[in-house]
Order: sequence, then C-alpha cells, then structure tokens
Amino acid sequence: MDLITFASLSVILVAQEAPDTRPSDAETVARDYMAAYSEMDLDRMEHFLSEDAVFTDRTALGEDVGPDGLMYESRDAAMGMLREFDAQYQPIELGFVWDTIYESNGRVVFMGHVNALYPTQDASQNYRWRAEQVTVITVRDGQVIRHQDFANYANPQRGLVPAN
Amino acid sequence: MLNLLTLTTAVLANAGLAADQPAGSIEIAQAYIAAYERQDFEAMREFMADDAVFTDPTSFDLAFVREPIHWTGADEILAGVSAWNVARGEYHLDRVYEAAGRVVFDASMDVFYATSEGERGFRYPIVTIVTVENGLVTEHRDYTGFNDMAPILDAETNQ
Repeated sequence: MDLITFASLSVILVAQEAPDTRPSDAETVARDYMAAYSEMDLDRMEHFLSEDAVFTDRTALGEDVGPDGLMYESRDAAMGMLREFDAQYQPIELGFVWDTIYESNGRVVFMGHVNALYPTQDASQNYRWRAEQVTVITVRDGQVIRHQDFANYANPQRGLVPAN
Repeated sequence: MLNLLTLTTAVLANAGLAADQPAGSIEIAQAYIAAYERQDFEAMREFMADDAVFTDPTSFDLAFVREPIHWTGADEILAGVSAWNVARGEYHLDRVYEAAGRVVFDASMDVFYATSEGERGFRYPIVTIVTVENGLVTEHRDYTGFNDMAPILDAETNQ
C-alpha cells in the first residue's frame, strides 16, 4: 500500500464517517492555554507549559532578531521573555480572535488576529496593535511542549481606540 | 522549461507591477503556490533552493499517513508530492501576509484526485508557510486539518 492508497482510500473512509465535533484533549488544553495568553495571565500560561517547552516566533522583526526569528528553549526562558514584555509594555490584553481552530496529531492551529491593547496616558484611550496571526500549539501528555507564533509584524494596524 | 525569471515576470505582470521591479517574498511565494495548485512540478522546482524542505508536522505519527511528510531537496520533495497523485489543488484564502521572509497562507484547500470513477475532491483547513530567502523557496511548511477533511459534493466544486 502506498501513499496514493492512503489518499484515495483512507481519507475517504475518515471523511465519510460522521464528524466528531468534540474537541480533542489536546485542543482543550491548547484553547485554555491560548485563553490565558490572550488575557496575558502569565501565571496561568506557565501552568500549561512543560519544563522543556519551546516558544518560537519566526516572523519576528527587530534589530536584535536574527533570520530565524525568536526562540526560547525552556519554560523559564519563555516565561522570562513574556514577563519582561509584560513589565515593559503593560499590555491590557492580546485580545486574540480566532476564526478557525483545528487539531491534527497534537498540533492545534489557531488562525485569526491579535488585537493587543495597551494603556496610554489618556485614560479614555487605549493603543491598539492589530495584525493577522497564526499560532500552532503542540500538546503532549496534557502539556504544551511547543508554541509557534506567525504574525504579520510587517504590516500591523496601529492606532488609538476608546477605552471601553 | 519555465524559469524563475519567466515565472516572476508573469507573476509581476499579473499583479500589475513593473517587470523590472524585484519580486518580493510574497509574490514569489504566491507564484510557487500557484504552481503547486497546478501540480506543475517543473515550475515548482524552479522556485526551490537546493536544500529546500517540505514538511507537515500535522502528518507525523498519524496511522493513515504511511510516512511523515518531511522531505529535503527538490527531487525528494517532488517525488513525494507527485506520489499523492493529486490532479489539482485550490487554495481558498482567508489571509495572506508576509513577515521576515515567511509568507503565511491562511486557507482551506480543495484537492482533487482523478479516479476511475471520476474526479473526487476533499476540503480541509490548512496553514501553509512558505519561507523565501534570496528569491528562492527554502521551506514549505503545512499544518493540515487532517481530522477535518470532508468530501466535496459536486455542487460545491463550482463555488
């Protein structure tokens, strides 16, 4: 049996079964983890990460960013980066809105936008940074072992918006 | 045989850009994906760097995928892709964007197989991330919704 057979037979069988719309365990973990990320609830995020979790952003841009983007190769390193970001910019939220989420082989894919809000000196206004984003979360044994962001850093929408 | 200059010129012309402008990563990635949709393997080859990688981590360890989709070099990649025996594919794009040489295609994809009973199509969500360096594709990275594959009914194919 070759790959053609997989494509033409196995997929047909899989596709013709009644769809199971229940999220997988991996998807449930990833959704909860990403909800914490969206709210910048870092303590809750950390709870989901394995000790050797890898956090990457290969679309990152900046003077200190190399051609392979950003990579943090442990939970401590990733959380250290996120806590530094939180302390420096004090985001209110990252405000993810996902229009497609799916899971295959422990990889949970989120497709949508980031709508990050930051406070300004004017309490009636927030600064919003909005861009397209894909995030892929790999879950093994109930823990997040890999977090990969791909965001449109090159062409975000930026501006002031009313605070609530 | 088409070459990169021919393809790039065609893409730029289609995009309404001047032919003497250097093609950006996004235009190169779009032309490569167009060749992939047509299953035009020679055209795909012209876009690929010698050490190009084609990978789909969502295929790893799946019982119904005999071998993980992870190939290096044009020969291995094109042998792998052509073995699927796909007649054609169509990306239905929600978003395309580029940052740091990574061109991200948020989409669903229709693939069509020519069978003895006629063409059969399947639709699934997909993210394809094409990395372009020095004008060549160095990585084609898919995240495929294998669990969300659904057959395409005849009435849907014209949508």
